[in-house]
Amino acid sequence: MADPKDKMPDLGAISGDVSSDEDWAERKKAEANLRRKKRGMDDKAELMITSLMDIMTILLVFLIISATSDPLNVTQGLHMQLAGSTANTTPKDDSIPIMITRAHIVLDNKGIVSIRCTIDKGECTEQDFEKLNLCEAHPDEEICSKEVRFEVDKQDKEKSDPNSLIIEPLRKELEQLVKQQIEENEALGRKFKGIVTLIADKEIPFRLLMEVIYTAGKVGVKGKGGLSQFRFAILRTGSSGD
Amino acid sequence: MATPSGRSSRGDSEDLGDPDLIPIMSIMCILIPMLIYSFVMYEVKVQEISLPKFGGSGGPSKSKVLNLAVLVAKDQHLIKIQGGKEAKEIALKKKKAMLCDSSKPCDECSGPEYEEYDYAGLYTEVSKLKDSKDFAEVNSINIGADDAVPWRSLARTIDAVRTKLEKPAYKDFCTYQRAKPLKVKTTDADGNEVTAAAEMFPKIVFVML
Repeated sequence: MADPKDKMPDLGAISGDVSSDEDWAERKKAEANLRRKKRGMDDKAELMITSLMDIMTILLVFLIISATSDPLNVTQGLHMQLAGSTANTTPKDDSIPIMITRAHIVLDNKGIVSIRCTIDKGECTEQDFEKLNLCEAHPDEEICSKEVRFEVDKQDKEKSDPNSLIIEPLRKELEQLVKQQIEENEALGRKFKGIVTLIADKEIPFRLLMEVIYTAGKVGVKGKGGLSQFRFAILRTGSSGD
Repeated sequence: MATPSGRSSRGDSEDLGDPDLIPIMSIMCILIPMLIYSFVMYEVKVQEISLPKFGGSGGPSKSKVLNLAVLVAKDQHLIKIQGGKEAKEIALKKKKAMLCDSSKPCDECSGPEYEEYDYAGLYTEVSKLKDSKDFAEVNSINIGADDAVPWRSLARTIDAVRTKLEKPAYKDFCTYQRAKPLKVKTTDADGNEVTAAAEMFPKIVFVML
């Protein structure tokens, strides 16, 4: 049965009878200690988290190494869906990644050029992108058979010519990056290989891909090499198609 | 700082007890899900291509070297053979394909129909060309496309011409899609015998029309 003192307010403490209250508390503590000792427990009940810490530390180190060692760190989302392919080449050498999403051309984690998307002469919406991403599973949807255009604005082309294959802001940024990489490689005594990895969204049209490739192909430092090898990042699929 | 008893506070190590691991655990509990969330769970590989030859496939080739090109138009694939005795073109129009549950056999597909490039036909034609003595030693193929053709269609076209599959011909998209690459024994760079996918035209050259 529960001690009535547990529930009732301590009238002794209110009236200033502190010593009897302290005695009662000490007595209670001693009883609790005795009960714990009988059950084989220490004064403080603690979780043994040392082994859990070991596991977590190993997991953390493994995840950090995996995240940093991946040469192609591609995060897929609404504006970036890789195309599926059966290609099985693992990227080994360092390369300059150029990401072509549905909204921007991204170099060195910076959006260099904006991409304009139109469906049936109207601007693409986020809902359109969501529907386009479902075309693999639902190819009979109306949007999947529509012509979706992705293009760079003519102001970003060489001499503002819409038919030009050179994208000026990309060329300028690539020139700086290539110059910097050539200098770094020279300092380290390595040869600059000039490899470009194009991480392109699956809906990006051939014309835009060629504009990016052509622009990159024009970049280089005289006598020291330029960008000459190109490869596409793809999502590996098991069989012949995806 | 010295304590009144003359002992430094650092000397009271016996009073410190075990380090409190709870805050570190809390940080780890946040860090690990964050890293797992950003972890790439899919396999990203690369498809190498050679530099484009601008205007290279425009007119008929005068050289005697055989030149094979696959052009992806809006509604068809066009296989162009140049440089031989006579230029030849094979057109493969888009076909009706049926969405099929992977657990069902191809003959029992009942999904909705949609228009798709004839990848099975393309593979069959290119495989036939590769098996002919004219192209037995050729390992490069030119690939071009109309401006609006999306990268996913090009990637599939490259797949159809790059690797040899178990059979030389496939009748429909479903059977082609499920086909496995033909495995052959070869030697790697170190001279070890390895099993790899047989290749038809591994060198892909992009061309602009």
